[in-house]
Amino acid sequence: MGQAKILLVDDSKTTLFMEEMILKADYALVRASDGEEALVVAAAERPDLVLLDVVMPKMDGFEVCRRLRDSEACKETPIIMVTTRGEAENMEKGYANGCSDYIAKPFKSLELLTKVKNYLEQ
Amino acid sequence: MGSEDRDHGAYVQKVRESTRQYIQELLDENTRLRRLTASQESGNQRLQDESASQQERIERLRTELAHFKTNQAQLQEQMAEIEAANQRYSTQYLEVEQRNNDLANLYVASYRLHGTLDREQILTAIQEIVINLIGSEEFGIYEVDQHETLSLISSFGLDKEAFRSISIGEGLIGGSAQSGKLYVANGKSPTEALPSEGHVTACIPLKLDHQVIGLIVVFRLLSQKGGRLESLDRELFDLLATQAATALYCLNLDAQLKQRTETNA
Repeated sequence: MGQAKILLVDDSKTTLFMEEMILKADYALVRASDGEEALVVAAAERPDLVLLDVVMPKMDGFEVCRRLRDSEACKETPIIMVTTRGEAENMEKGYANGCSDYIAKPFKSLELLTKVKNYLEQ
Repeated sequence: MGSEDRDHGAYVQKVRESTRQYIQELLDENTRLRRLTASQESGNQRLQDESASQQERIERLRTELAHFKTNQAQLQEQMAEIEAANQRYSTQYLEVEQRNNDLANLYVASYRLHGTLDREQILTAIQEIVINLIGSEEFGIYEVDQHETLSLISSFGLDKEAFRSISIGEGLIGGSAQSGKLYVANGKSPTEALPSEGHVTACIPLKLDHQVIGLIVVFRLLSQKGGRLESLDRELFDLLATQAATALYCLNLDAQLKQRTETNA
């Protein structure tokens, strides 16, 4: 069985780089730097999990999440939202739009790896 | 011989016969009892032998039990040692993971700061480090301008007008720039805080060859940080203090070089 594929979506190069450093040893990674690109890449790559930033230009993470859930490629794919805003209100909005879980920035590598592993092993 | 004598003789004969039978029976009974006694004695001896053997076995089992108990105590001791070692390794593993995490953060920050000579991209990199790695969405980046004043060159979540320009030596921010020393909330400052500086979490002077060329002010941290700075945050402050200063200095050098090249051309 090949490596699981994760789609990383973030407009921050720093966050993308950080996520890549943490995950690249165990997973195949594809990247998108905004919401529109994320939808295109998701349709083409059919990832096993999506790490999705909330605050992005053009289209925010909630909208991307909702559209991914409506798509054939990602209707059942775990989507973990990555956010600086860890308030309950934001989380509720994320869950209402179909996300599976949340991780707050700044995150620890072990925290991210554990969360990703849990979803991919389910 | 009269009939009386004959009767007497018969009677004696009968008594003799009965006596003989009785004696024979007694002898038979005696023989049976002797056999029984011998059998009992033999059984008794067997039981005594068995009892001795059982006693020996019990003694052997007692010795074995004592041995097992000693072994069990040793194993329990070894188990406790293994558990303690396991606990130690788990703690070390977490420490190594934490250190790996810290180094990854520092590497990413350093890489981002020195990956370009474009001013906007460097300022974006500093912003991203503060937002994503330190965890604040309320901060300002200053440069020391030609008037020896801190001039705001980039910010996030701040009232720009209120913090556009700060005199060196004034308040916590100006004081940190003047002393060249990192200020963290509730720490010592050579100057008094201004009313607008109530939520300052850290002032990070950007230094090059001991000269302050700029400063980063971090106001409120993200709620999930619980208002606490971690050791990694301080390492990132140190990294920003030197690496961001170098990056900004290289930018200015590059701009001057380009300007001179254009003038010469």
